[in-house]
Amino acid sequence: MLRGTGSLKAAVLLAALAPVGFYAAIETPAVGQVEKKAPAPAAAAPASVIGTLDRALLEAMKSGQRLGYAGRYKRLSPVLDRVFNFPRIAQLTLGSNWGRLDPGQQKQFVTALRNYTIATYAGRFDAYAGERFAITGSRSLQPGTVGVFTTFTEKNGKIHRFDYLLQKQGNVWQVINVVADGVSDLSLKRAEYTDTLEKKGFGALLAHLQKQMDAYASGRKK
Amino acid sequence: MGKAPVFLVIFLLAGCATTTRGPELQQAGFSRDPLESVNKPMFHFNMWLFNNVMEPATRGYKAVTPHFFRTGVSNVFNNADMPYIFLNDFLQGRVQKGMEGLSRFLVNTIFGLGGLFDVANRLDLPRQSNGFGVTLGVWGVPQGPYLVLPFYGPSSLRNLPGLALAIFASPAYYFPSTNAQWAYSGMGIVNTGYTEGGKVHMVQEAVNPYVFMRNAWEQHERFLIQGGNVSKSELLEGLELPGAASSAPAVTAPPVSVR
Repeated sequence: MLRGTGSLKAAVLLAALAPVGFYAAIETPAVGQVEKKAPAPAAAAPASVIGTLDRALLEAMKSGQRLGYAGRYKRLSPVLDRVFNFPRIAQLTLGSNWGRLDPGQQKQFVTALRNYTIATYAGRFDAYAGERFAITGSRSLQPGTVGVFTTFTEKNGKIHRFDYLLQKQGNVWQVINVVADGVSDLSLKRAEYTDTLEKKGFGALLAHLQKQMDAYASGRKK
Repeated sequence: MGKAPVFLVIFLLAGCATTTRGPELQQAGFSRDPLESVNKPMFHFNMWLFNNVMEPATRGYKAVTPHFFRTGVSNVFNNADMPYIFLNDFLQGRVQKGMEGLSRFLVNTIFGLGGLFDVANRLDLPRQSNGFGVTLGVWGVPQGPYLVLPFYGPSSLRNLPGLALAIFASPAYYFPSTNAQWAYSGMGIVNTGYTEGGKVHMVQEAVNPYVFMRNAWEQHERFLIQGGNVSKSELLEGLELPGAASSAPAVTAPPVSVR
């Protein structure tokens, strides 16, 4: 367990960034490999989505200092909007509590979750030190849901596993969850957001997300 | 004794218990938290300790040492952890991982000057994670109640025997001098604050740090017990899709070399 902790913290870190990517670099050749290994068109497209995400993160990291937080936010926003299905993620995150919100609150939460996710990426993917992303495979898990399996290699060589779940929205595959070293971002958020909703209310949940975004923007948080 | 640093390292990650009162959380597959009333104050105590002791110590450490020095210290402590890690690999019957861990330890000890330099990374022998709690899990021992230990952090009844084993696996236990043991332990605490601080901040910044940490710990522990695999049913957990294969056989995702 002692040694498990090191990995745990990494997993926590990664899961928190989950819908995200990492301080990593994508191995473009690996993406190509994945597409070769998965000849089924339905499986290849989701892998390309993750490749797009990883390349955008890598670019943000490599030019992180020059762009600054605002620049990274601006650069990543359109990519994350394409890659993540924020309305679906918001609905899954709140579970049965979703139906208890009025339409206005639902819209507020989707926006807050979207902005918070982008802020997290822009705040944390600010430097590059040789990290790598690689896509190792993809598979249909059930009709309409595909898993894309990736690894993230830290600069010290430690390898982490990131499994992305994507669903088709219209003709586009979008991410709805990320499982980092076995830690599901959706499960984490569902547990803590549900607890906060029940104990402190919707306003407190939004206020916390806004506080974290403000901290990223001001540079107090990394 | 030489474990004080390790304890602190882990306590930093302390905390988290889910209320598991709601169906949402039970649906998410988390265990009950019967000791939440004790765990939560302990979690907050550990976080207080981090904020008021570890963090100031880390600031001082960074102010008076160059980066290469801190990297070297971190490498030494990582290398010292290796015997505990590969021993547990072998106990779990994961011979290949155990051999990789043993090789990593030998390479870094011999060619990395006692672990000061991480040579093994260049030889495709990356760090792994393991513990005796994971070993007991592999052997079929149930987790038992979730625990937050003072100075140590997230744990469970199943993980308690591992604390003793970790003490005996630590080099400090075999130091002939008590002063040397204290020095090693003290340096370990400082190193822990340096290497883990960012992650503790992440826990603290969660909407609900206690819930966040507990759930993350339990999920990751399950991941380690399963040998770095995530089953299909676990991947689909919480999606609540019509036709979701909740009753489908747990098909593991493609094997990935994850340490």
